[in-house]
Amino acid sequence: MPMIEEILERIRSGEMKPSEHLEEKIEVLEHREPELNAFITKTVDLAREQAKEIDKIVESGGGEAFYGLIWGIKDNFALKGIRMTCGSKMLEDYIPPYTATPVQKILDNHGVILGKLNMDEFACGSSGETSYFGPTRNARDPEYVPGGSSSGAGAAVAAGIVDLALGSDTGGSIRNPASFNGVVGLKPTYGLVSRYGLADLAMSLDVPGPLAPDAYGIALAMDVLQGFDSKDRVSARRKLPFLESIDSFDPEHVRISVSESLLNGVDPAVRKTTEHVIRFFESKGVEIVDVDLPDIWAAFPTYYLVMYPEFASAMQKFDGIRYGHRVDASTLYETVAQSREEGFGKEIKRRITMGTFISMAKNAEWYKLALRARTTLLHMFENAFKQADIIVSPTVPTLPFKLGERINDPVKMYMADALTVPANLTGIPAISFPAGWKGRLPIGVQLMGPRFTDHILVSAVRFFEKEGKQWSE
Amino acid sequence: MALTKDELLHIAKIARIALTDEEIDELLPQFNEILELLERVKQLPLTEAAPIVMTDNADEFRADAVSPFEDPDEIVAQFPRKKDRYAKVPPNL
Repeated sequence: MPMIEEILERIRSGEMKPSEHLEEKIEVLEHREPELNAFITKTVDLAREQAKEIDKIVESGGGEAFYGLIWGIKDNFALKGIRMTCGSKMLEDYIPPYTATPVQKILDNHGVILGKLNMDEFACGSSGETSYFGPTRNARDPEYVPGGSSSGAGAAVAAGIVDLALGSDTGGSIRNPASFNGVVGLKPTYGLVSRYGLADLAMSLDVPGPLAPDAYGIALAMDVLQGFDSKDRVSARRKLPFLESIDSFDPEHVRISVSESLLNGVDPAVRKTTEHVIRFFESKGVEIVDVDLPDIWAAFPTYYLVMYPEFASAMQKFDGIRYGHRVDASTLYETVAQSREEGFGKEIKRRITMGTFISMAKNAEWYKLALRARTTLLHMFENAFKQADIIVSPTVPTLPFKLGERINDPVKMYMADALTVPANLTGIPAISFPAGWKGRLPIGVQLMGPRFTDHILVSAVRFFEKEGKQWSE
Repeated sequence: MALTKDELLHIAKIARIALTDEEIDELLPQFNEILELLERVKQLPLTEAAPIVMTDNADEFRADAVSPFEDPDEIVAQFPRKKDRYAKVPPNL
């Protein structure tokens, strides 16, 4: 797969037109998509129109920042006039009347949008299997799941159908499919990228972010995606120097931490890959420190106690009255209850009922306890970052698993998120990058840093890409 | 803490989802397995330290002014059932 810099160079130098690049990608789409099911809606005609426009702009010396690079958009972001399903029957025919801020930024910066990507229903899943539009398959081995919930994003980038993809991450939904498909995925600091136009899963945890074949692609995307948006209440007035600092990772001045509590019980190959990454950084002069994270296990129950009620609340707007799937019944109550019964899949119903239960007055203590646990975890990470600049862990504790293997066991499925949810609870940035292979299956390693050090994490991945080697067995 | 079938039916009613009997039977054991897992949070020694605010501008408010949506007709067009520009609903009872 040609890396993002090479593609940009070919377009900028005039060797290849954006529309020629698009045609190459459409060929890959036609070849791979029947097997992968990475797209819910293809926008080939729209992409051709866009690319033709960008051809002219590039010819006359413009085209920043994307020069016609091909994007896929997870189907929980709004693009005006194009169906947006969130992977659900509930929104099978929904046409959004506006465009999400991150999507608008991609358009404004000459990105070509090839389609809306498959995903777990309302971003609830870690395997890409809960989509109403059928499961996506892993781009490296179609017998395996692609991870989730940005399943189409991970698979489409890995298969080379798109150059870059926009995903969203509430508990690992960018990093998990990045890991399972062998690509790079960044969950930015909470508030760094606007959520306007993203269908919310849990408002205190959601953040949009990019998936790319390499660190350069992530930096290029983040320079555009980040920035203040008055339409998002938590949007930060910050801009980090992603491309500017991409090659300035200085091993002599970085402390990296490894903690045994992050390696407990993980698959042996995943553990070996993580240790391989740590040894690589150590060999380059990085100081390795042992930072204990004794309470990290509590992130998992805390995450679910926070996410379920926020999700149940977010889903109240789907009632069959204003938009979405509608069942006509004799009373208002029955109309709403039956519309939701028909419109939602199993995992959505599971989460809504759990969230409703935790939100009941008699269970208020549970929720309060979760909020205090969240504060405890925030302090734990704040203390850890006094001793280390980057914390290394596996992205997912296991290798990719086969389709159907866990779909009927929600607890086992939830376990896939154990190492990704801490970054969402604490708002910190976390990046997953391909660091190893077990046969055909990729293994991702995760780097976490303090809030607003996203660019340093990207430069660390770039450093590994240039100087390091992937582990394999 | 374990949940009974009646309690789950009550929750489904509040959540406005007309779950089928099969769904209830499948959901109940899963619900209790998950609850058991979540209860472990009680073992965490909690900090007495003050909460940390995760956003830069938590105390910042926008002006309390209406800004009209650019294309309200597009919103009306999404109503599954409508009369003129109103969403149509069945009687409440």
